[in-house]
Amino acid sequence: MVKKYFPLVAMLLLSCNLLAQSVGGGLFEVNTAASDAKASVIATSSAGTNKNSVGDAESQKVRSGLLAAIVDFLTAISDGLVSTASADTGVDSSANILANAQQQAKILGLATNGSVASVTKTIERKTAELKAKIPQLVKHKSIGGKGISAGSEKFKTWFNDAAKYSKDWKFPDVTNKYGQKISREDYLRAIIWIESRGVHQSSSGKMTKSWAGAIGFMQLMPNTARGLKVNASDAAQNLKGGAKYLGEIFNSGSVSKKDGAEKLIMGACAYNLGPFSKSMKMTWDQLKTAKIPVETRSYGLKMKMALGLELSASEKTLADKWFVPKGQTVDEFTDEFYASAQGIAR
Amino acid sequence: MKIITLALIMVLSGFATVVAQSPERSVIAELPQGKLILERSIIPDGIAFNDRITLEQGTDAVEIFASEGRAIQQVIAEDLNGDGVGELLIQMDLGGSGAFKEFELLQFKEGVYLPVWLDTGFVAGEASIEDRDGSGQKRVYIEYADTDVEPPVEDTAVFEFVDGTLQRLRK
Repeated sequence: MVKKYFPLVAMLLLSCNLLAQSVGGGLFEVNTAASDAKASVIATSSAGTNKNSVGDAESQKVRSGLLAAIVDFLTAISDGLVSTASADTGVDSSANILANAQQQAKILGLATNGSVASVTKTIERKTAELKAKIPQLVKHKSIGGKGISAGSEKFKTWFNDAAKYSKDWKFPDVTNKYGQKISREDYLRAIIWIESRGVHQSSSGKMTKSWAGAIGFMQLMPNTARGLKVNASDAAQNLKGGAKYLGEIFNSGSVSKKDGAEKLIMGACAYNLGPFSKSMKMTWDQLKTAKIPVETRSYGLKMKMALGLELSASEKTLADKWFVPKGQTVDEFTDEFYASAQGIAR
Repeated sequence: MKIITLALIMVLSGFATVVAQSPERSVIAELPQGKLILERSIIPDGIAFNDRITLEQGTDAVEIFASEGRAIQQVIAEDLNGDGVGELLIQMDLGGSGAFKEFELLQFKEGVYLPVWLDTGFVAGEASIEDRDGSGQKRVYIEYADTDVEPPVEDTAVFEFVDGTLQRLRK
């Protein structure tokens, strides 16, 4: 076993090394000019931010994700897990490992016949392909009047203050379909978008409030806000409250025992349904067809969309049935949803 | 003097903590088998509730239900199956952004309360057990907002006790 895979591991370690250097801005660069045509992504930051530097940062993020995927693969080989991985759900880490394994196996085919350079070129091309698929993120603008939204001048400060509370989350390492490692901030962005579409208060001064009384950016229920010791009507405290609430979800209760993408999806469902519901003991596969509110099950799908996680065919069918507007495909909706959610606080 | 002051502060702060964490107690029902007590308390520095229902017989207290983080809002003791012993319908707030509730039904069987039904959902739900149609059969009614449709509509879920559990009569 060891002898069989030694050349492969050695070759991949070498390519990892080269890739690591590129992540650090070294040997080779992704051709951003080519990918910019479709997606040069992320022109979302506030005025004064250099577009290319943001693009480079994204390039590095994609490469880092790819590098992490390769390291996962090597770990899988060493653990003898490759043969048992499942690629079906796209949810658990084993699916990622197999996907990575398949990707790396292709690279191996080239590596054994060609040079290290061809391997690195392949990695470079794959990185560029992944980057080109990232939808252009939405730049959120002020809604004017008495409005308080993700486009408000102070929003980024509030967001960064709230994100400090995410440092303590027991947050899993997950790479999305664009090869990007999902960050705690990405998760906060997703929750804000799903809950309130980034609006805390309308331009006429009306607080964003649900039918049942949930308030603001993070749609905190009054009792929950009281427990979190925040004033839900205050935009900055509302964001902090949401981040603290997610800490409770990730660090205690049923969701804390989950891992990988499963934890991210079920964390979102728990945010909507309540972390201590007995339904939270289920897996995502069980929950999405369980006898619980459609709103909660939709929430899990929306979180996958907002984080750039691949939806399975059956999940796309459910999304189409539940919330994708008529006249729009699930893929179109997903791209828009991701672009809007991840455009928050850039 | 400093030591005495320090000791006093420690005693007082300890007392304050105990008072702050003392559960709020209320009597749900007085039954032949004992007194049903609801105790409500929140776990400090968090959002989890440590609510529970106990059956007190004299000086003995037996826990018959623990909320496991959920906040008990209401407990209704009513005889649903006509056997002369009240079932317990427990309504709990889940705290999520969707404002959903969780309901459990406990039935008294062979000297113990056992969970026989669980349902999750019912935005802003409020439960009652009544004989609304005068048929002599008590049913569970949950008034709630149906958010599965857009825009949400107010609805009533009606459940009947059949074969040892609750079954929904109509959607």
